[in-house]
Amino acid sequence: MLKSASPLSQSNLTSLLAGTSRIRPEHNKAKKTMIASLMLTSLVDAFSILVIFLLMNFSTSQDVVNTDKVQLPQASSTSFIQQGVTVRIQDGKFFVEEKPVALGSLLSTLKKLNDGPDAAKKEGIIIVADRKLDYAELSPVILAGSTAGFSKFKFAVIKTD
Amino acid sequence: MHFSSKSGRGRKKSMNFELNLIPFIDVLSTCICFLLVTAVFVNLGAIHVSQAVGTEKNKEQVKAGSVIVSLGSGGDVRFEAKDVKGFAADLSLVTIKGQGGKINYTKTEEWIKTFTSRFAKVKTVLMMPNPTSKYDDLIQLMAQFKANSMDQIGIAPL
Repeated sequence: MLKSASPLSQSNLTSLLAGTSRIRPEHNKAKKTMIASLMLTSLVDAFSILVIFLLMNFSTSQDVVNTDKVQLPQASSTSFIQQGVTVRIQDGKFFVEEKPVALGSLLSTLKKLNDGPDAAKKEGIIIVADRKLDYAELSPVILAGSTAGFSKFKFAVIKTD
Repeated sequence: MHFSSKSGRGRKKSMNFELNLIPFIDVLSTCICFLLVTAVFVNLGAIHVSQAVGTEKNKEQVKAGSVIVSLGSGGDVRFEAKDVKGFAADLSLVTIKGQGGKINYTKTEEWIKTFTSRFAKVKTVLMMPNPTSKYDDLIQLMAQFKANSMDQIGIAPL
């Protein structure tokens, strides 16, 4: 029933080339009809493969780290970026979980996060900083983080092959 | 005696049916569109380090020894093998001069490869940057160590 209901099964197309062929002209013969049927199964196969590929490459790491405003360094040997307390250093300012924090209150803010109910201590600190940054600007974060009780530091980088 | 191939209660239903693929294609197309729009083409990773000063080391780490990397001015890098048994005393301190104010990564890679090929058990690295050391230089050096399976990297604050 579906076969007969399909609009494609009823479409008759006439080949234009068949009528104009010089080698075997078919002017006198009755025009042949070609029933064009679209192979939907292969299309579904291709779509499925595409969906699987996109799902496999679907990255959620961008949700953890906001890297719009900083140019991250590139490195090949990296690990998967996991959850943690994100500290962004930008133009000499510190942003803990996207909230601006003064250098003086960096330690207390990190301590609060570490003492909180979340398992922040286990996950560590994710440091997001510009590649051209001097270590003098980065060091206070490491110092404050370790004083607050964090033992793991993760430097966010762009993966290269 | 005659056995009928048909079932007792009427004819068998035909198994030759067609699956309507159009809604299936619609769903897949929507999925593809959504995934393509939300896809992130920048792959983010992380280099895991620990704070180096004041942290406890386990016995194996102490036994195997460690490498202390000091970053000087002008791209100079000093490697110091500490408590590594079998490493010649005159080779335990090596300074690789910078090139045009930048770190000579080819030479540093060479040193790390040579070291790890001889002392595969040494996994601990302590980075000691100076205040003017660039963050990118630190990352590149740490990545070189990680690539040569020296993955227990610590960093010293100023």
